[in-house]
Amino acid sequence: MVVFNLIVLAITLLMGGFLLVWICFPRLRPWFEAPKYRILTWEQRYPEAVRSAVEGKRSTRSTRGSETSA
Amino acid sequence: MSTVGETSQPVSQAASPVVWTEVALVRAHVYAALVMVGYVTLLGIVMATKFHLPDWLGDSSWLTWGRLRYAHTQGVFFGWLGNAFLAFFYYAVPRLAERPVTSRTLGWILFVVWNGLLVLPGWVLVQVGVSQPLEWGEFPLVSDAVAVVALLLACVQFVWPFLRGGLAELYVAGWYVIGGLVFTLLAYPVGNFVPEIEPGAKGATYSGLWIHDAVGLYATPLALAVAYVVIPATTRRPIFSHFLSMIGFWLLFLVYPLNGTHHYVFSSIPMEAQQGAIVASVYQGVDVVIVVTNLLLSLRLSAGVVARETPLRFVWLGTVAYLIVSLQGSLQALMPVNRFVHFTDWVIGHSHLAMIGFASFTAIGGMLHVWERTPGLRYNARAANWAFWLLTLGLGIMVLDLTAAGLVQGHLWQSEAPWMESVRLSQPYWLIRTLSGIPILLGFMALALSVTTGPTGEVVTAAATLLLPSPLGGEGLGVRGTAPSGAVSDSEPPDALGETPGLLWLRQAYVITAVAGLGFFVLSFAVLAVWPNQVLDRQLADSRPAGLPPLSASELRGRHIYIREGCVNCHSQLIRSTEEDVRRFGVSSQAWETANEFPQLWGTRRVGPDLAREHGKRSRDWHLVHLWNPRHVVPDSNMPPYPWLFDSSPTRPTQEALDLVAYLESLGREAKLAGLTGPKPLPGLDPEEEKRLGMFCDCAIPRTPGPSLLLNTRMEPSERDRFARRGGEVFARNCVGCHGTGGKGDGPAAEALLPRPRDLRTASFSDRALSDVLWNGVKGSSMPGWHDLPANDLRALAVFVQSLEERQEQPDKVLSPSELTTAQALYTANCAACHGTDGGGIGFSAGSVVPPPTNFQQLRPTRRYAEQVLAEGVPGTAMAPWKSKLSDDQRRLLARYVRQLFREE
Repeated sequence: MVVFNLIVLAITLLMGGFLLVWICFPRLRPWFEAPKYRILTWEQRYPEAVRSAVEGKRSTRSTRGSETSA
Repeated sequence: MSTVGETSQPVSQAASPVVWTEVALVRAHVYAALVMVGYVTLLGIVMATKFHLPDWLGDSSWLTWGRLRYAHTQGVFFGWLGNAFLAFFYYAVPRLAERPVTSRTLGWILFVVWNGLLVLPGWVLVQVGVSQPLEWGEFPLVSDAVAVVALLLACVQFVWPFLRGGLAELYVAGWYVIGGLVFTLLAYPVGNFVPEIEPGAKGATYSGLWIHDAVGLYATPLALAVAYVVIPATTRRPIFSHFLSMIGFWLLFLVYPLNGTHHYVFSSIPMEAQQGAIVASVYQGVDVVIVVTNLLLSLRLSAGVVARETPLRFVWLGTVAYLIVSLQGSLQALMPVNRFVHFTDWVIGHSHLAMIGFASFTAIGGMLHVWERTPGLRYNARAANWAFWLLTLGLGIMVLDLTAAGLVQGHLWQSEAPWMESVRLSQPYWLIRTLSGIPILLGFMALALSVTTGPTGEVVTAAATLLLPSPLGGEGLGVRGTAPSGAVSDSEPPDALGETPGLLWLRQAYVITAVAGLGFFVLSFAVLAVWPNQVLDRQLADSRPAGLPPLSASELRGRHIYIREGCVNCHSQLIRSTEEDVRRFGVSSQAWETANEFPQLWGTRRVGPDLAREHGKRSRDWHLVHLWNPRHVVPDSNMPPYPWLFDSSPTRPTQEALDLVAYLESLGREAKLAGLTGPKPLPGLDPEEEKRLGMFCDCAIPRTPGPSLLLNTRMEPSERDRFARRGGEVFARNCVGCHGTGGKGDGPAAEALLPRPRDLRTASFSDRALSDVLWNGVKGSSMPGWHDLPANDLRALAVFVQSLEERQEQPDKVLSPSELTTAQALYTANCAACHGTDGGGIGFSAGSVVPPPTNFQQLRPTRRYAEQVLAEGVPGTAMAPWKSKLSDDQRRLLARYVRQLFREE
């Protein structure tokens, strides 16, 4: 149980350390939080990228189609 | 094969690299997942139905309950959840890593390995009888090897892009993908291969870890990865706090691996390891509260979106289920709760809540999220909505029902009620559980419709509506105004670290935590497996009796059949150190008893009783008939039959049946030979201290049934009638399989039992005779002791049996003095050696005769029966036919003589 208590203590200290950094260095918080914004920018970019991809594909097809018709 | 937009190359590099979705692979994995979840759900319904109709499909070894159970769990694990998660990763990983997955070709190889080499062959193997009796590790070793390769390929495919892109500012969902895949790859071989090398309790320390890691390091992180993508992507708002999400992530990977041994509380694994796992389980509850709080706060003021968007609703309910199931898990690890609910259906409800409520709901949310956002794929929102409600209905009923069933079973197991009482009283709950499978099956069918019907999807418009600042005016925990308000801009939030000299090392914080995570993972095995094994080694060296016989070749073959048929899924071989277990099954299981078991067969559930002390409890014939058709000897049993172990009749067992019975009869033999007596008071500990430590002394628990109760059947006639009626009910529940409905000894099991069950009409029994037989059974026959029945039921049974006696047409003539002299001479010369000079059944040869000779003072055969026995003997006993040695007159005289030995009480 001694070993186990040490493990639990170590986990608590590690997490407590992160918490302390959070509390003592408020200027770091934006860095901690930055990744959560990035996923939203991806979500915004994605539909645009896909739309352009689809449109690109359609235009390629129509070009090929017109070539075939011709 | 194509990426989004049916192009073969990444498109619009300027816009974003996130369009590298491998649509064909998404589609393939989703279809595979849906086909496989349909199959495993069907398996689940068939298995549930067999609880009421155990003979249904009973002729097919492929479809026997135990083998289906193996296929069911592994199908859920790999076939359903595995494919669902992989499909999601092909969409999410390129976004999270800002890079495509490693290789499309590798993707198809992974698809083939995962489905074509792992799941499908695994199913075939377990259903033909090649399996491993370990929870969440049921596929055989060859499949385990394939699984390791598949997990390795998955790591290369999905983890490598993250490593290439850098981890310093990775979003939490990416961490969960990395952690889930890497830690599963590390934990899987340990949990599946080591128990084959480390026997018994030592192996159980590893398999216990894997039972929990399968959920905690595979299903949980991968489902949370889905949740952390779907929630912000659908609500178009960032999660509440990325800081909290990372705290939750690391706590999960630090604490979860330490939980495993809580699956074997009260076992022979060192108590310190058990208590450590319990502490970790409570700590895990704290972690889950942090994670779920963060996720639910991310959904604040988004009720409308949750209601409207079915994929998000799936994820939301999955998150709520995660909270409930995790707190439930922490609770049931605690000793006072564990001793009550472990092995019961409570745990089955818990695991369904985890694997359907949390993992599957979240995985479905992820699948649908991908599907409706991928152009060119049909998506039927209406069917998806139906799927949600049907699955919620089915799951809700199932979990509530199984939880209640578990409480009923736990209560009965703590009482002195016979085991079968819990089977009988569970039947209504099992019926409801079966019915709850129907909406679940319909729900998965609706889910299949939702991705195969409906309009073809266009691009989901995100436009400029991604709002970063929350309606509460902040961006979550302690961060305000760090991101642009209004529409998302492409610019990143300010680089705070860059402005804070001296803290740049924090960029490498992930290295610290990753090393810590790996360290704790290794530590979990050190503390919960390696160290307990060293203690166990010392214990085994000190306590294992020398000179005990190993299992014979036949018993070893029987053990293999026990594993093949999945007996471990319903019968534990682990008598826990609790008063309830010891009272019901005998001395608690010791580590040395399983020192040669590769792998251990402790089991995690009891539908039938524990078998660790089966040695000497039943006759071989009883076991054979029980395997042929359990209801022949236990009328209310719901155990499946095993006719393929016989050649068309219970009287013609194959070698496999004989081997299996030999193995069953060997269980607990070593303990009996070693004179195992159970726990003693520890020196220096007072009883109160023992209780506080969850220990007890079994000194007051009788180890044998002891002398029988005297069942007094003398009562008023009206009372006698009532008792006889009750006795008839008890007889119908317990005795008709052998003795037949009329007590004629012609029950369905009778033909295979030797000696045959007694025709109860052929004798008058004294109270003492009935008391002895009903309490202790009849040694050398298949008649078991019924001392676990309530005393009043035994008394009623005695009254009922007495009522069955055939009345003689004519009363016996009193023996004349000359007849008496002749009869005495005949008796002394031919019968007294066994039956004793006074007919009390204790002649000088009686001790070596089984079944024991009849005590004529306590049992009076009818004249006709006595004459018949004298002429023909009793097959299967020492009573030989006397037809050739005694004349008809002599036999008739002896029959009259033995009848008059009976002493009326």
